Amino acid sequence: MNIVHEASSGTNESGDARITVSPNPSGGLSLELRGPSVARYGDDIRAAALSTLGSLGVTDATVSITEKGALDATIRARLAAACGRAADVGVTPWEAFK
Amino acid sequence: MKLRRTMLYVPGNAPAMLRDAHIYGPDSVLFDLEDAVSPREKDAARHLVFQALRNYDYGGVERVVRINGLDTPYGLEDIAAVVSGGADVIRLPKTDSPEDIIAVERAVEAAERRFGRKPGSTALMAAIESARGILAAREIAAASPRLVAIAIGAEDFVTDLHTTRSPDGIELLAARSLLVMAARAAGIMAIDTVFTGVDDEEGFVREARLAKQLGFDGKSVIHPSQIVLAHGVWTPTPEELAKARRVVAAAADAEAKGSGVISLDGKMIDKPIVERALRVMALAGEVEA
Repeated sequence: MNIVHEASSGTNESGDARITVSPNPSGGLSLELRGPSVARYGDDIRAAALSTLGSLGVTDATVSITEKGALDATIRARLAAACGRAADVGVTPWEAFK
Repeated sequence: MKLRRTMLYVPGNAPAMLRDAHIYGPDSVLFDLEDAVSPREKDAARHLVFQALRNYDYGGVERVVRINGLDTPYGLEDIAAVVSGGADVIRLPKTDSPEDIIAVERAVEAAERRFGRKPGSTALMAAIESARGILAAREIAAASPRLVAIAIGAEDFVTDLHTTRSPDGIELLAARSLLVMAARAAGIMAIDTVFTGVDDEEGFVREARLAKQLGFDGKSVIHPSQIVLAHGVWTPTPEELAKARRVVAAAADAEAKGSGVISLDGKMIDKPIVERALRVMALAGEVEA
């Protein structure tokens, strides 16, 4: 999945996350995490994000995650939706998610 | 018997509610991708529901997803996400004809093949919300072996009928009755519409009692507080249950004696009375229906 412009998904409500995905001109993946759970669960959130990006074949992107106590499944869902929007892809390869 | 006394609506785009939906004890949770989700959030809700189906343990509570119709840009992708996620039941809104069900059935079959899911493992439910749909309820209910229930959606229906909902529901009487008869003729369940007055417990219970009396198996609910009220209506009282046990015991006794006549307390018990008693015991979870 090729990220062609900036797009976001999610909210700032409790139990949710707001995720913005944009093209990364220098290539590769750049991940920025913010939120109350990052200190304790930052590694888990990072792993969920990287696994989702891997499933979608996103190799070059800047990802900004602001979470408000979101569970991994919510991080995955919000990130996948943001990637679909940022890549202008309307059909999701559901079988790619493990 | 799978009970469907309550089916709790959960907006598909509300992550915290998707996680917690089952803790209130509904018989089924109903994740909504249709009217509860704005067009620009359809994709996001689909991802949330997919992840919820994949990752959360709902403790055996049936997971139903209301998809968008196949006449919208969202319906096919909804089916892909929901079948891939492993939903128990897909609920189709605004069903007007058996062809609507057949089209969804074909799409679900294709999705089950695509995602390697067991053929036939995704059940269907049809919500009927128009005069045309109610008049075709018999054919709709029999349109697919995957169908486990048909439901009435009252808000769209009364609009189609050029009327409004009233407290006694007189405008829905014929439609509700036709829907129950169509469900019974096809051997599937009938689910009543939502009651939107979340704070009106008395009104909810009155409507639930009416639905039960008409033959409905349960009700779609929009707030956790309605669950215990509906279960109170559909669960047999201790007296009803005690009487049902005695009827069934008398029938078993008569059968053991090789007698064709069943009597209890000096009264003859007909076969329909035994059937009703068995149903009361099934509602109480004591026997298979």
